[in-house]
Amino acid sequence: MKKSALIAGVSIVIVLMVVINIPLGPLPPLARILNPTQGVWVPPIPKNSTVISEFNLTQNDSVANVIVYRESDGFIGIASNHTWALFYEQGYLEAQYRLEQLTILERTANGNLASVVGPSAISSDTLSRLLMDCQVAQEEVSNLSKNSFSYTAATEFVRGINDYINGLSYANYPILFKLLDFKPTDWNLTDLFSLMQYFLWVNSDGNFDPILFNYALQQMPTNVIEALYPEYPAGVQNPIVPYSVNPSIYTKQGDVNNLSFYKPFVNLSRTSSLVIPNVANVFDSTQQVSQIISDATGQKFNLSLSLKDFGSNDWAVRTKVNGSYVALLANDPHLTTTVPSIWMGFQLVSPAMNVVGVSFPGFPGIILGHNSNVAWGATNGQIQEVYFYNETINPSNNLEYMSYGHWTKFHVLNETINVKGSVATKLIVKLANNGVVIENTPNVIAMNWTGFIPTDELAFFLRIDRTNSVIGFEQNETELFKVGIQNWAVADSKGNIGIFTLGYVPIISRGNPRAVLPGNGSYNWVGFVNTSLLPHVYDPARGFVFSANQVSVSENYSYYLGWDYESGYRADEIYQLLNTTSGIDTLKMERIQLTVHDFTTDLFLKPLLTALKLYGFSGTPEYRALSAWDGNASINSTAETIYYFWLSNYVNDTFRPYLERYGITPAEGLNSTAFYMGSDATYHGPLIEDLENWTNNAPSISWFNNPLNGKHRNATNLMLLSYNQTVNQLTKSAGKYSTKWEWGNFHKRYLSSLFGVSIMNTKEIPAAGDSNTINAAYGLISNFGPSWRMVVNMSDPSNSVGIYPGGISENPLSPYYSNTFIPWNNGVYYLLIPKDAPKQFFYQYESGVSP
Amino acid sequence: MRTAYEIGIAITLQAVLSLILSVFGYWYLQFVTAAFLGLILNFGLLTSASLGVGGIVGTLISVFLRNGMLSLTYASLAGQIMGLGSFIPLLFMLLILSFIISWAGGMIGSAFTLPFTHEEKKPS
Repeated sequence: MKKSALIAGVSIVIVLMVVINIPLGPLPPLARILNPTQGVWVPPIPKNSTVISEFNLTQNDSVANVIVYRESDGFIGIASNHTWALFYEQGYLEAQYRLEQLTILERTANGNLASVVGPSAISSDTLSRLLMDCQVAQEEVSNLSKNSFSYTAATEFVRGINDYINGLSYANYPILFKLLDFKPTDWNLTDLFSLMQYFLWVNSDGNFDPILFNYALQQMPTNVIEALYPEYPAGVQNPIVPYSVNPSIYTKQGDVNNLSFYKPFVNLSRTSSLVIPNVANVFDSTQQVSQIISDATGQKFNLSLSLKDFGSNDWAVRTKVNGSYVALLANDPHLTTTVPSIWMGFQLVSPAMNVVGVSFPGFPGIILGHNSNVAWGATNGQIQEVYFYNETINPSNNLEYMSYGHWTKFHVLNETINVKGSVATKLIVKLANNGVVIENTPNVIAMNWTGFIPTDELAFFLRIDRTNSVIGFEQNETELFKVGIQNWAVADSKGNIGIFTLGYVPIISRGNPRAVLPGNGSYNWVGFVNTSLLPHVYDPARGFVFSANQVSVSENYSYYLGWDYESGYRADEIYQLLNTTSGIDTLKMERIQLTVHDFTTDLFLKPLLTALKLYGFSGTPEYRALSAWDGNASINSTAETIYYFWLSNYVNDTFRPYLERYGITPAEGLNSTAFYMGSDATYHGPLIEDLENWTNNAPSISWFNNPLNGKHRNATNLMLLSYNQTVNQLTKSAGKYSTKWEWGNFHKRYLSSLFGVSIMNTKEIPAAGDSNTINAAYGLISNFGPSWRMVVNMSDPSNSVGIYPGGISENPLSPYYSNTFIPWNNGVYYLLIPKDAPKQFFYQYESGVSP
Repeated sequence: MRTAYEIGIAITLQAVLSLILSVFGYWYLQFVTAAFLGLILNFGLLTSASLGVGGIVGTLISVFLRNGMLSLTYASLAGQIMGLGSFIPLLFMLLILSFIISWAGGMIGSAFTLPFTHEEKKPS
């Protein structure tokens, strides 16, 4: 009996010890995750109060005094008498609050995510390797002068991250690390620059659109392309730089006259769409940097660290107060609204700087914000930075391609992607002189991106943090920002304003840049548009500058910039409000930023009401609601609900038959690309601008006819058809017209988990606005919109205000995980430099204060 | 037969020892303390189950020791991410494992007899 008990006991113990100490499939060892004092039972301790802490940091012989001020809204102020300590502490605190985000971004950028999460990240790693983030980052690091401010900032920032990581025990790991059984590793400078490369890629416009559009060019007759996809948008335009404001940029002869926009230059095999979007979809069709992470249980996580710009707003106003000019600036970049916030808010004070605003985790310094002299904001320039080439391969040697009449060898990189729980994947990266090969069969397509050139955007950010005037910005910083083209709006304390579209804009001498180009060398980039000829405005007579991802310039600008602009309705609304608002101040700027008037109602509502009246609908409650409506997408508006669905149906009824007629299917991006019927595209793409133009200027144009059956149609027919569809849809889903049709019942906002873990999302709450309102809320259940709102009056910059949705901490149990969601949705702004901040934070704002 | 008093002592001692092990991060080694107690107390196959109960108690206390109910909240988050719905399956798994490990330890210990202990009398 004793013997059998011994055998049983020993056997059970041995089996259990083995079972709980080894990973079981995707599960981490149970002995670790179930550990009562270290595993899933142990939360990172949340920071739960406003705290001022003061301590010393030492580096070599230098001792720095540091003050960390955790503000009640989650912003963090850091002040030090040594600038190196400032960046060290910023790195340390970013790791403390965002280690999961930093790690997954760094791994994604370096193409090493699959080593953490398994095979589901191989496609992401493949793209990162093709983008050569790591190689370009290595070059950028080697180009960095060790005496530069950037080097000090980056080095100290990385040291701060590493010191936090090295002080971390398993018990304090973030929850995803425990579930993935991942131990964070030290960073180096290349990791930091690689992450920046990744950031620049997702801010680079165009991505894989030319491959998808090539199919449309192949399928549709030229006259259809010309009608549906004009090179210059068809709708009402208020460009960033109209000819009348800065004609100097229109004087040079550019490349646009040599290009052709309505025909394909290569014929691609349609089957390539089955290959390319497998890579492209990761970033492009979802409009976000999205990854699939296989979690510890084999579930799928959708990592949604989204940066891709649907749209953003920035504007600056120059107004006269008591005889002198005062400049104000507003900015709200539209990104995925996440928990925690996609941004981190900091005030950084040292003898070299006092800057406040937001930074993207992994970036030393501030990206969007202000100092005591200058405020700045940015919107995506929507300018094409990615080009594609169809290479001709030597039939006898597939490592050679045709270039300028000669077979030329590809430069080949052999990459190994390590995969957790599986064998490593080998990848051969082939470099041509016009890009990196992203598809080998059936077409050989190379992609050229301006980001393949080593640049120094970090220096740009760190210099703008310390710049002292708009003129100083124009003279010293504009040459530093090259990739991920942005429209930088700037305002200074002397009352000057400006807006600058900055970055490498490629020039080609022939071909169709909207599609794939022949790879024989003749269509390669021949240079970049000179910075002085890029769109820019300084102190215009009209007293304001603005951008909202609309077309940058008037039609007669001589360089090709791109065609993936927003439809421009937010820009039209901003223009109208800035043009008609007098005595502008911070409060009025806030009100403009929170506006939920949909500009498209000025264009479509009148024709709709006319059509409805004509056909006897004027007695209906739906008509009465629409006719009494002010065009505001308010929560309690039933008219907005009718209008929103009607406009969507109107676009669909008009254009979907064309896409069907010419075989544009989901594989070609039908439901994912803004220039077709992509997500919320009825409010964004070029098609709505065509519709706006035709409805108001040519309601009987033949393009309204149904291309599938030749049936004659006009604007009125289609408006009625889509109106009836709308009323039927709404009646079916919410009963007959009543308060149940109010917009807040259909349109909600929520903050999605930064890591795509749905149970970590916030609840959905009714929200005003739509895709075209300045206060944008894309889609019906929206997690996309103003990711940061800031208003600065440069005559009183210490009273600047701002807010972001979501908190600063990635720990879901922290009070700073989602604390600003409701105030943000309600239009609340916080002082960026609280009045009760330690006096050091008023350095350069008040005399006699030192950091 | 063991008295309730002896069983109570066994549960308490194993609970304390497994709690100490858990605090130091070695909760799964509680079979060692159970074997020791099984040997000292000269438990049998069935009475060793009381050591399993002690293991459960000690482990449960250690779960709440530092963070109280926050532990369950956090584990609930983990459980939901893992698709288990809540902390309950995780807690159940932890306690079952603690029970089995301690019981098995007790069985090992009870297989040996110290010179100063007497054999457990079997009921007649």
